[in-house]
Amino acid sequence: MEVAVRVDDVSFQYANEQTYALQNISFQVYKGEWVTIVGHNGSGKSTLAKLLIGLLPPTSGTIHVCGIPLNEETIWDVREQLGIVFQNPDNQFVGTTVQDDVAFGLENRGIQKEEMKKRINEALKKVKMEDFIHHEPHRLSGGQKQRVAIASAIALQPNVIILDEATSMLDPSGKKEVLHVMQSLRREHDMTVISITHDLNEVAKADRVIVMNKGKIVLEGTPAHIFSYGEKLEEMGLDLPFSLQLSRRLKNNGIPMTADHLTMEGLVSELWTLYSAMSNIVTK
Amino acid sequence: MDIVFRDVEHRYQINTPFEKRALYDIHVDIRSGSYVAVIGHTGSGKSTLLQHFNGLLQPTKGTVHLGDYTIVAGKKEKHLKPLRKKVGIVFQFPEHQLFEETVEKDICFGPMNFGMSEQEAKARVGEWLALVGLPEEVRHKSPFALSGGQMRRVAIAGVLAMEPEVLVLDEPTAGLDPRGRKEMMDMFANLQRQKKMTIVLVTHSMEEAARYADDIIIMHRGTIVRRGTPEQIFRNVDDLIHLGLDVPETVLFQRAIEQKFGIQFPEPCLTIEDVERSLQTLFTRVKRI
Repeated sequence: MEVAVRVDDVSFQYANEQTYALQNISFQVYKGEWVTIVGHNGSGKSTLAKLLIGLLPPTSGTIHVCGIPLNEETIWDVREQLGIVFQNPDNQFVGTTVQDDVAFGLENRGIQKEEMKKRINEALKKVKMEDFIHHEPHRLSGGQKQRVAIASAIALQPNVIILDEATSMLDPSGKKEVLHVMQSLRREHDMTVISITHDLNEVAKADRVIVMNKGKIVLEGTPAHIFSYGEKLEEMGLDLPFSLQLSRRLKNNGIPMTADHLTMEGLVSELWTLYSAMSNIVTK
Repeated sequence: MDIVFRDVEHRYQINTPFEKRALYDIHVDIRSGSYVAVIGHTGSGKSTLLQHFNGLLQPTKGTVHLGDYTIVAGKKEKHLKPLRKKVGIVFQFPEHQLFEETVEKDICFGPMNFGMSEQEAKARVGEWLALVGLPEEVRHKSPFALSGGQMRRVAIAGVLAMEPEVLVLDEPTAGLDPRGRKEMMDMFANLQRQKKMTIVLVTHSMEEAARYADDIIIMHRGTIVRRGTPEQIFRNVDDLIHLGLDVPETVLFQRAIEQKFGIQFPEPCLTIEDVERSLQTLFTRVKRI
């Protein structure tokens, strides 16, 4: 499989800080893969995102994006491969209208006017903001701003998109829509997605999950594998899916559950099996 | 301080080509000391609504009563400073509004602005830090050297320092990790209980609304479409789905169980503890038969 992002033994220390924000981080993300990075606030996730786009240089170690080694000379080539959406959209607006804002990145890349128009319209339609094309970004609501920021990133059709808690200001259905857009872009353009999030639904949809704690990678695997660590995740300040939490509580209450369920369907069906078995014994 | 909105409307950029009606037909009654959650889609008017709670925005039609204050559309209200002390608004990402060199100075800025002496303000910083669960050690640090979650607490301490009677919170837990989110929500619940504060919480999280609020207001396209206790609101699952809103996982799970088992729980399950208890009862009953 083709590697989209390769991180080799990267460490990072902020100036005037005693400890490392990132310590010996190594991982690969394959082309077309959806990788989610989770960890509590201060675990180093956002620092990692800043390193990946060259906003901060690693103290040691190397980063490759689409085969290009990331350094001072290649930073603009690397950024052509990348799109990033941050948590707070207020910090990333440049245009006076929604249209200008989405156009900014495209203009920087010298995209032809006709093509540019087409891409702006498509991107805004995908995030359901096409009716706001001439509005001022600063007068939009928090969630609408975030959609525009996402449109600006996807209009560039990057090979790799990094979402740094990009859906945190959206309502639940907005979150679902954005994830859906990302999924379809991934299919159509073989786009790679690196998503930094606290949202369990987003975690559950990933191909692979990387868990960070205190600047290190502590767990890596499929969502089911990661959630099987249960209490260890809770100790790190992370949440468990509802079905898993409930399975454990019921077991502690003496209901003889055989598994920790990741889905509601699984949990309901085991409860039904247990319940019918019990009522059968009683009626006999 | 009771809050009453009567027939409130708000239009942005009135008499320009950009005129936009953001709120209409708003009738609200919030009892002093209650905890109200406002939910709705992005762009449904939640943030516009909450800016009317201390006169940051004034209605373009209708009347807003805030305790002894009455703000009437069309009459420019000028003496709003005392009102702004009584109603503290914590905006989205309040940590972006920190600006002082030290946490202490930042927290004292508000109360000193409202006439408290520097000496008194400084003497009380410890109390305000404790309210938001921050250690005394951060007092002389730069707020910018703290983590995101801690910075948000400093910003909230700055609002609490003005000792508001009403605390309006616009998605206060966005971007916090699960532990941070729970700690912050427990903190607001405590403020309501101990300081008898009125809490108005704007949130996307149905779980938070279900667990903490006495009353829920649902906004849709600029107006209030539902109003009730969490039990009333979440009893009507299909209605919520119809409005394009999410349903708490506890309620979804309850529904799945009810359908599979062919039974009906007497009350909607609003917390995981409710679900646990209901299932416990169900399984104990079958054992007893």
